[in-house]
Amino acid sequence: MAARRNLYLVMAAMMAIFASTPARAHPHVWIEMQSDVVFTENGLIKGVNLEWTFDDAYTQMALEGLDIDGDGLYSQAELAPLTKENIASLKDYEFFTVMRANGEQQKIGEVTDFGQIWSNNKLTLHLQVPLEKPIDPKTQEFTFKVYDPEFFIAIDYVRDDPVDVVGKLPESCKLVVKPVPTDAELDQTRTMLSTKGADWKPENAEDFGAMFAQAVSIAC
Amino acid sequence: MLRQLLRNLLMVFILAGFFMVPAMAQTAGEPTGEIKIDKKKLLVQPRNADGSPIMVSFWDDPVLWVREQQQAYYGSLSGTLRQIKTDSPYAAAWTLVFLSFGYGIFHAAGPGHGKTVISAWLLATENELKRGVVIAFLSSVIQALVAILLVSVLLLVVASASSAARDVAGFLESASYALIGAMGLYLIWTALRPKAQHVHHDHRHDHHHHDHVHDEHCGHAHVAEAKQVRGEWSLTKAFSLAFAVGIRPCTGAILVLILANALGIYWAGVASTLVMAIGTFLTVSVIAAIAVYSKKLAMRLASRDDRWLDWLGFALRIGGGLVIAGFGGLLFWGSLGRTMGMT
Repeated sequence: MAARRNLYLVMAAMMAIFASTPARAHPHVWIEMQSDVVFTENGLIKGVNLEWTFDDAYTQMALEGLDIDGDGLYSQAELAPLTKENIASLKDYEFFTVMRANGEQQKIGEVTDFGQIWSNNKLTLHLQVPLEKPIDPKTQEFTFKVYDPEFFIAIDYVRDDPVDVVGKLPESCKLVVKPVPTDAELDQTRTMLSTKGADWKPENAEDFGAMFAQAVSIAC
Repeated sequence: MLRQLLRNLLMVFILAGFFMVPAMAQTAGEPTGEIKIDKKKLLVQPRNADGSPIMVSFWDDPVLWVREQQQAYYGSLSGTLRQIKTDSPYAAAWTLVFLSFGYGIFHAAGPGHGKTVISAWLLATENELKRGVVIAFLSSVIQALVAILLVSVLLLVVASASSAARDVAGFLESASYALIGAMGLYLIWTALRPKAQHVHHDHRHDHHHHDHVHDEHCGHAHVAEAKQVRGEWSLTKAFSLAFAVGIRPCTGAILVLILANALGIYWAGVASTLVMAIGTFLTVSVIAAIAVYSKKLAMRLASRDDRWLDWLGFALRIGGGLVIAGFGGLLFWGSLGRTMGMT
């Protein structure tokens, strides 16, 4: 927890110093995430599955008035209009998903596989963010990060089984999830950033939010 | 018991199902997309290619536009409050205390304190400056305590009334905003009411209106009427006089307390109120002292017909009232939506 709080502090400081967009320094929605790297039958990477479980406050706000038949439950059909609108607006943010092949940011395809499920008083949005062109992990190093650069939404991986593989993972390859940065690492980043000028930019044309997002990669 | 109930319910559902199926089949054909999803429910607002958020234009949907604007204002307002709350509560507290002190000083010396000056002068003729000062001090402190008591009780009542609600803090915040709005309306009301009377009185006896115009000011009878001070001098009498004067809490003090509560620094509000009382006391004492040492000056101050000062006070109260009522209303509205969403 301390690590996360520190992370927020660093983030907030970064936003204040560097932000070019009108940023809101505090997250307003919290998401607990699980993801999958999706492989085709030929062992190519097709895209990623995201499963976002929202915090209670957002859930309550979003669900208000959607129980149309009044049975106290929120069926998929009742959630559908909200899901559709959310997917439509998330598209303008590329679903907060950045996929790279050999460091090069990849274009994403049309998101068609999505839905929302309400169970145990938790609202979960699941969607598949496909790559426009599948990637062969053996020839190109695949990495991806999911984060909101404006930090309006705090997206964090769940502690247990944060990332999985769906489909055929080539035998010589394995899934690598970069661990949550420790306090010491965050301090290091902070110190590093404090020595840089205001026009300094992270590598790979990444934004600052990406520096603090957990990276997932396929290593072959 | 429960299981039986559930089984019965299930039966009812199954039975109902037989009748519902044809009806459902009909409604199922209807597009569900017709349900309009409130934009505030979205995780992120849609935006243009350049990254700027798409705002609804006034002409498309005036109601939504107004709410969007309101949300934006509320967001920045409450964001600022929260910022103060978390980042610099001490700075905010000190600012509040200093402002309150200044308010206390200037408020008591404010426009239309002819009454105060006259009574101070009357006091002086009776050569009882010391007593006047004591009573001024007591009444200032009592006034502060009454304000603190009033607001504390009010907030406690609100808190206990909402104890069923989970988010008492959120409820208190909403209540504070509502009270701030109400204070603004009260200010407007006090500014308008005597003005109406003023006009009314103008037709008949032109010179009496001055007493009416400023009756609503707090800190008015800060130096007690000479008549009351004369005669036997006892501590009980001093207290009862001071109490009679101070029982009406000052609107400024109430506002400061409510604001402090909204900021989550109620203790600073209490301190500010007491400091405000000291400020008021100082000014009133100085006026009384001036009266003693310079009757002429006091006379001049008392008799001056500061009409423009009246108008300035009127304008300040109307303007301030509008601003405070607007802010309070906006904050209340926004916080209401949020706390309702939470509970």
